[in-house]
Amino acid sequence: MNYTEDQILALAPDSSSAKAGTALAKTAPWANTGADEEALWGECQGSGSKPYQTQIDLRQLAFKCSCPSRKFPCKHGLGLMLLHKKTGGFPNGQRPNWVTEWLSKRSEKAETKTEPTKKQPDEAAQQRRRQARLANMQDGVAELLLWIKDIVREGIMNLPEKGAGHTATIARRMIDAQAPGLAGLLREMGQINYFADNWQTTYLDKLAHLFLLATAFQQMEQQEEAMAREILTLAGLPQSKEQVLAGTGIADRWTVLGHQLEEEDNLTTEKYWLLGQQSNKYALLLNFYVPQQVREAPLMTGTSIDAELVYYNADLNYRALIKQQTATQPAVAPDGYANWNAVVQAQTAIISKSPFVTEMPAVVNGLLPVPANGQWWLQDANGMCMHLNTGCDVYKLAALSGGHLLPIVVVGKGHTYLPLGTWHNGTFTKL
Amino acid sequence: MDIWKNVIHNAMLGTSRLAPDKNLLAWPDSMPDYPTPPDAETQLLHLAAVAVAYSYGGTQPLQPAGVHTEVAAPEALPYCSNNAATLLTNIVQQDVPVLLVQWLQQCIQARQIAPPDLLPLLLQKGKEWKQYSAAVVSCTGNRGVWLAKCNTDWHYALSASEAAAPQDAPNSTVWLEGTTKERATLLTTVRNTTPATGRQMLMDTWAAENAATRTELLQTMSHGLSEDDLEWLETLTNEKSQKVRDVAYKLLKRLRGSVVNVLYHQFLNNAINLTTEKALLGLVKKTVLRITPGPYITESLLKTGIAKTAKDTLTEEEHVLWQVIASVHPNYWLQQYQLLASEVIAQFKKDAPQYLSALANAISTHRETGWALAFATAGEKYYNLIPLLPGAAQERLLLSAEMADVPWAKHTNSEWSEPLAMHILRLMAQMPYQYTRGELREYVHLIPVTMIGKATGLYTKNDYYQIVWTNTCTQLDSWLQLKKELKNAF
Repeated sequence: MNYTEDQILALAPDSSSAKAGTALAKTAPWANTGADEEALWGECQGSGSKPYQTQIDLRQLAFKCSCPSRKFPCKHGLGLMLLHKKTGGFPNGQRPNWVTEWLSKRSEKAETKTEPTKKQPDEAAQQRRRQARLANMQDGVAELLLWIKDIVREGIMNLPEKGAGHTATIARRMIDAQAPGLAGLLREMGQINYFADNWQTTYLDKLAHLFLLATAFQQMEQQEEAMAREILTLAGLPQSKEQVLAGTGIADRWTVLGHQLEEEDNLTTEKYWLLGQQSNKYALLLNFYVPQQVREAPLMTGTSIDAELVYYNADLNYRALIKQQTATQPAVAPDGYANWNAVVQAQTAIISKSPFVTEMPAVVNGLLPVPANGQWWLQDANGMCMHLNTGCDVYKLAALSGGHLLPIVVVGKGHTYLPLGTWHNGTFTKL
Repeated sequence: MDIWKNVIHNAMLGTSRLAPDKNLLAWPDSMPDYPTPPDAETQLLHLAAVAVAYSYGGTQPLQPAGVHTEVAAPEALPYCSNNAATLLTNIVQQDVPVLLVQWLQQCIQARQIAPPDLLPLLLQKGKEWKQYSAAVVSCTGNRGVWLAKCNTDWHYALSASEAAAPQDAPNSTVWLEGTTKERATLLTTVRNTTPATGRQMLMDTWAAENAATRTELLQTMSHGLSEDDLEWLETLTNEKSQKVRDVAYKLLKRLRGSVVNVLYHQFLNNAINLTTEKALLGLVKKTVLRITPGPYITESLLKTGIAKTAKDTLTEEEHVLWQVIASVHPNYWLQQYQLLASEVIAQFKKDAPQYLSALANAISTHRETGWALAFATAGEKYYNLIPLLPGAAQERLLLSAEMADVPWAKHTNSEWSEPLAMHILRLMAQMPYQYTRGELREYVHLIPVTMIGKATGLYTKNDYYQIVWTNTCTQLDSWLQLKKELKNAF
């Protein structure tokens, strides 16, 4: 196991867990620590009389601890992993029974996965509900189009005075129309900075996107099946996970390129960007959490997982699900795009299939951050540039670069890209 | 893209005020079979949607003007180990400046530098904790200097690196074009290495500086101050600005050959006399200090920054004398009265105890370690002399410290012994709301790591104090653990 401390801390669900895990990365509270190729284990003395039994499955990076914490991974899991990293290894290779039992159960579960017995759904009732919902959404879309036309008729000059409030009512109407995707897009429009230069372009860009989606929704019958699914998903009626997982996946060794967490209105959106080493396909794993909800097993950026991924809509977006996963190991920098020209060609290809793509990931083999004219740029080996979205640790990236080209993972669209991570001297650093 | 500009223009006004111009918004010929839109709004929205998709689909990378790439110079020193790097991150995250200093010092001694990903963290700390900025620059290598150019907050690192070649400092960008603070930082560094160069830099630009800048830059002359600076500083006593004159006089007071000190000596010669008197019916001779400052207080004396005001129990005249004694080099008394330091102290104790603190101040100002030891040997507890005492004397003095004296314990030169640490922490435990985590952070470098776990059990006044103290000690133990790891980090 050759993970960096940064990679381990990136697994923490929040900063206080990271801090508490770091505080436990010392030998004093731990006893009976051990490790082998598949697992780490140890007993950590807490405030109670009995120490907590902590164990980590290294095959698929899973954590288990007997402490009462609802955070995942807990501080003991993080601390054990950090301590193992710090000390260079644990001496005892003999697994205790409680570790053997857990690993065996996990292996059995993976091999003999059976569907739990479910009550057979009433398909006719499901179909009726779906049709009713679609009819409700169509009514909402018709009102939305009238609202959009009103905006265009009146003009957008006075929108800065109205601010975020001007989309609130129509967004609520979209919720009533069971179209939360459209409501989300309207909220985004309300939240743009009306005092920024070029706010008009940003606003019209989103308005045009919304108009296109609403019009496409109205003309659903004329769309091809894949596009129809995409439009329904964007409007707020996605496929179920079960439906997607029933499809055929792509088995590959997937490099975990980047991890993003965004919080808004008590909802946390988690994104993992992946790249298949053989398939050369990019994928996006998307998870949503409400407060206090336990996160799914985290992936470690800069590592690779052997997994089968199933796409929601392979040609039209990157979103996918993990059907099954077998192993995790450190990763080297994948072979990405040579330069920005190659990236924009790929951007053209995906946008020509779906105008609704809002961002695309890319590994670019050689980029370096350069400050000029009061802003930051990402320059490739040919001297061509794109705007660097400074929502990352720009100075850390610049320090790692030192003026040299680095393989950098970016995500973005148009002329602006956000770096998510980079490889420096063979080690991945999250930004 | 003209189509997009037209779309924006039309959208700003609205189709009710400006009907879309069919020519400007004409559909491209390459797009056949476009159905006639039902209304102007739909036409405008169709065009906007296509324009957006066209724009993104046809994105090309840019070649902005002014983009200039520069590669950092290769490093001459190796990077520190991962353990040392991790420790640095923990020290910065737990916000312990005194441990950061130790990390930096050990890194410099080991002739290593911090790895690139930690450079922004270190450079930012060098800006926040200015007194450590020079050490930070030593540990960030050539890449640190390169990176500092990208952020104006870190330009202090450029000053430090330019001052590494002091002959270049007078013509450096920072000196010629920097802010007053940046120039003062550069000048301080130059004064610490080649004081004469620093003085010349200031003299060369003096005429062009305003009063506020002169005041700030002149203060840097306190670094590397010597008799070589005397001649120029004395010319500054005629400056128009009172603030500049005050700084000049403050510097001159530290130079024994200055006219200020000549004036002070004359005053003391007249105001204080050591006379020999007979006592016990003429059988015994005793020496007595006779003090009469009043008649000798002149305007020239007061002009040197001496305030003629009463203070505490001292009258105006006594306070004037106190200030002069506090400024003059203590060796004046040895030369004037042909006495040993211990004898001077004894004489003051007997005849002029109200001026003992002034004498202590003078010792502190002129950093006279021999005098400081004499004071301590005489049993005088002037804690402002602690920085000048050797370790054992510091320890002896502080072991008798009381609650009010605790802050002076911060000024010892080396780590406390365990008995001293217990004594000081025992006093602090009585005031846990004063000696909070924030306060104790300043003492971590002085507390031995053998104290881990020992401070928690110290007695406090009541249960509430105990809870606060216990929480503080938990943090203290965490810092001491970092300190323990630091010992083997390099």
